Order: sequence, then C-alpha cells, then structure tokens
Amino acid sequence: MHPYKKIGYLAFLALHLGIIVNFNLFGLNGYQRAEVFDQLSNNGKRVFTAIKNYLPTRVPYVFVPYAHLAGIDTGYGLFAPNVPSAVSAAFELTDAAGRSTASLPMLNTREGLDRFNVNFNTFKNFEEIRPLLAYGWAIRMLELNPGHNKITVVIGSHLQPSMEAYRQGERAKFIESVRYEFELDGENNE
Amino acid sequence: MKTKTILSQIDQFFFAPSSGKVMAFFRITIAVFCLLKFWSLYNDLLNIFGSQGFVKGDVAAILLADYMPRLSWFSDAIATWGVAEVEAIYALFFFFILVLILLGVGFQTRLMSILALLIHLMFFNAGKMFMYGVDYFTTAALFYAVIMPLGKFYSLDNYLRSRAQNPGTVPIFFMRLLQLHLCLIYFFGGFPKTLGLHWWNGEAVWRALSIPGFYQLDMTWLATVPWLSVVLGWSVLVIELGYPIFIWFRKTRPVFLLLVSCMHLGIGVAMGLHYFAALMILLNVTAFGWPYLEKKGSWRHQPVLV
Repeated sequence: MHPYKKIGYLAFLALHLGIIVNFNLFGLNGYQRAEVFDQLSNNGKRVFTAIKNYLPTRVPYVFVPYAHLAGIDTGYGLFAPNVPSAVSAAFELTDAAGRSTASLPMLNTREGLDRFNVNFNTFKNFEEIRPLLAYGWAIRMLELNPGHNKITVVIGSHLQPSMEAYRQGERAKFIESVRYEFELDGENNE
Repeated sequence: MKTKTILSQIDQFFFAPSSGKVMAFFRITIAVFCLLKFWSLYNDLLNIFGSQGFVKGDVAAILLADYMPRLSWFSDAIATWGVAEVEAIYALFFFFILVLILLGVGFQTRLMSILALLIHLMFFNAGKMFMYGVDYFTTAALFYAVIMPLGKFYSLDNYLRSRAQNPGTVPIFFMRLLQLHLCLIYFFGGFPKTLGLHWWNGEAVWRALSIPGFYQLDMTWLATVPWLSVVLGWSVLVIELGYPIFIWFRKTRPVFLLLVSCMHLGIGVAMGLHYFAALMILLNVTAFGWPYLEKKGSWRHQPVLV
C-alpha cells in the first residue's frame, strides 16, 4: 500500500474515533449531562472542564451527516451513572355505552412491544413532544379498536423499591405523572 | 533510527496482512442478523414505520434533520405512479430482504452494502421513536460493511471473477477500526457507571432486571441474596473498564472475550434484548475472536496483535 494511502487511512481512523469520543463527551447522552457531570469528583470536573475548553464541543457541521451514516451519532452510557425509573404508558378505551377497557399498546410482535417500552424510556428527553406522541398513539389505538370513541393515555413512572425495602415488604409502584384524554367529536368509530 | 522503529511498529499494527476469511464471516453473519432482526418486525411494519402508525409521520419528522434518509423519500417518489405508502413500505421491505440475501452470498457486495445501509437508515429514521442501541450498532456494522473489502472472500463476486484475485489476506486496518470502536464503546459505557452508586451497591442489576420494558424472568429472589447483585454489578464494571486494556494482550484476550460474551448473553436472556446481545457478540467475535474460530484448538499459539 502506498504511504500516502496509509496516511489517508489513519486520518480517517482519527476522524472516525474522534467523532465517537465527541458524541460520548458532549452529545445528548454524553458526560456533560448533569447526572454524570455532577457525580464527578472535583478533580474529575476540572479535567472535564479543561477538555471542554480545549476540544470542540460540537462535531463540525460537515461531519454530522457522516456521523449519522456511520451510526456513531450516539453515546454509549446506557444505564449510567444509575439505572433510572422506568416510564411507561397505558391506555383506557371507552365505548359508546361508557364501558372502559384497559389496554397496553397494541403492537403485533414481541419485538415491537419491547421497542415501544424500551424506547419510551429514552423519550424522557423529549417532554415537549409528549402530547403529540400521545395524540398519535391515541389515534392508532382507536383505529385498532373500532367501537370505542374515547381514549385516555396514562403516562407514569414505575418506582422500584431498593432490595432492602423490597425485603421489608415494599413493592413497585406506578406513579401517574400525566394523562391525556381524547374523544371522537360526534363521529362513530366503526 | 528510533522514529523509524516507531513508524515501522505503527505500520505493522495498522497495516500488517491478516486473514481475509473474517471478512466473509462478517459479511454473512451481519446479513443474516439484519434479516432476522428486520423480519421480526414484519407484522408491525405499519405500526412502527408507517406515517399513520403509532407515531405520526409529522411528529417523527420533528426529530429528523434534512440529510437523514427516510421512507417518505421513497414513498413520495413512487406515489407519482399511484403507489400508496402502505404498498411502498412493503415493497421496500422485500427489496431490503433481497439486498440482504445478495449481501450474504456476496453478489455485487459493495453495492449491496451501500443499499443495505441506505434502506436500513430509511426505516431507522421513519421509526426513530422505536429504535434503540441495537439499531445504532446495526447502522455502524452496515457502515463497516460498506468500507470493508467484504466481497473478496467466499463470495459470488469472487467466484464470478475470470481470474483469481483473492490474495487470502487484507490489511488489518479494518479490524483495527472495529476493535478500537469496541474499546470506546465499553470504556464510555463503563466509566460513567463508576460515578453512580447503583453499580457499586448492586441496585443497578436489581433495578435493570425489574424494569417493565425489560422484565423477562422473575428475579425478585435477588433481593434475598443482595451480595449476588453486588458481584454482578462489579463484574460489569470490571468487564467494561478492563476490556479496552486486557483485550489487547494474548493471555487475557480470550478471558475478556468470554467475559464480555457472557455479559451480553446474560443481557439477552435476562432482559430480553436478544438482538442486541447477538449483535455485540457478533462484533466481538469478528473483531477479536476470529483467530480462535479459524484455528480452533490452537488459541494458545495465536500471534499477539500488540
């Protein structure tokens, strides 16, 4: 292989790995988020701040599409520094006679349902679009449940007791944080 | 003289010839993996990827930048021929399956890798709110499939060539790229865990196994043996932080390869993340485990990579 080609390969490697490091330090799931940064020791904070002062904290715009194509536009700190409480959604469907039924998201595959649950937890970062998400789910659930005119989307957190508390009899609790109600306006959902 | 030696070592580290068979292994396994993962969503295609599915198209679009490939590029383009979005999604789904089969057998490998990456990203972005770690790693794996010389070994492309062009080796650079990426994955996965309390006192394992979305087995008995959760939590830290160092030494590499595979296997079984576990094991075997598979039984005599 020609030496210039080798230099080109190494430059590509440095850029590729540099983007990965950048997303992990400064990206959405990076170390700069408060729950990680606040846990650093004073020396750790000083080191991180120094890094932040000397390194670009954003991947230059021209490389962002590349990072997306290469699948490296993400951080890897899942379940860190601690494991958060799970957020989940449930539905309450009401038919014309006023009878209510509770339901989980009606996905047809195990993989689909897992993805709904797993991913919903990552969407704690997108609270501003939550009502829009709930609206979309509600429409889909009504489409899949003809005969029902009203739906309530309940979103909340599962609070898991610590092992110690569990041994003393405490159990997981679902704490409702928000609910959205949607009703078909004078239409029949047939 | 010293500079020359260093340059020569760098050259050796990044560009020494290595077995080309691993390219065929990676090509076939990644194609099969994508095929199975994607097929598992067949009955939810419209729920997840359709613009009238669980996440409406205009809501999903909020999270997308202009450059991100998406299904609507395809469905809008063929809508001019009177093809509805639903038909477009199914057509692209089956085309993707065909592309993956052709990638697996190594026909027009580079083109198929590019198409596979592009179509994967179109689905990924259309269903972005249903995507998680495994889908990011799938993108990365397909990206590596694009840049690696996967079609040179045990492929239809190679068979159809009129003269033998198979040197049997490739520069180890491509494996180094994947190896270093994996080291960063585990380092950045492990280090922030050390900053919290949960991974030290065992609560992390206890909580992770109880989250409704991941709940597979009744693991409540763990509360009665808290030391086990502590050991498991510490093990994750040791594996993730030790991996970027110990995977490079001949004596410790098989140990860490086994440990990290067991960790992913455990995640797959206990948390139901089967595809995530399978992909991470596949990437690890490709990056570090291939020499042991290729010359099974003689792993003690494998040449050191460092």
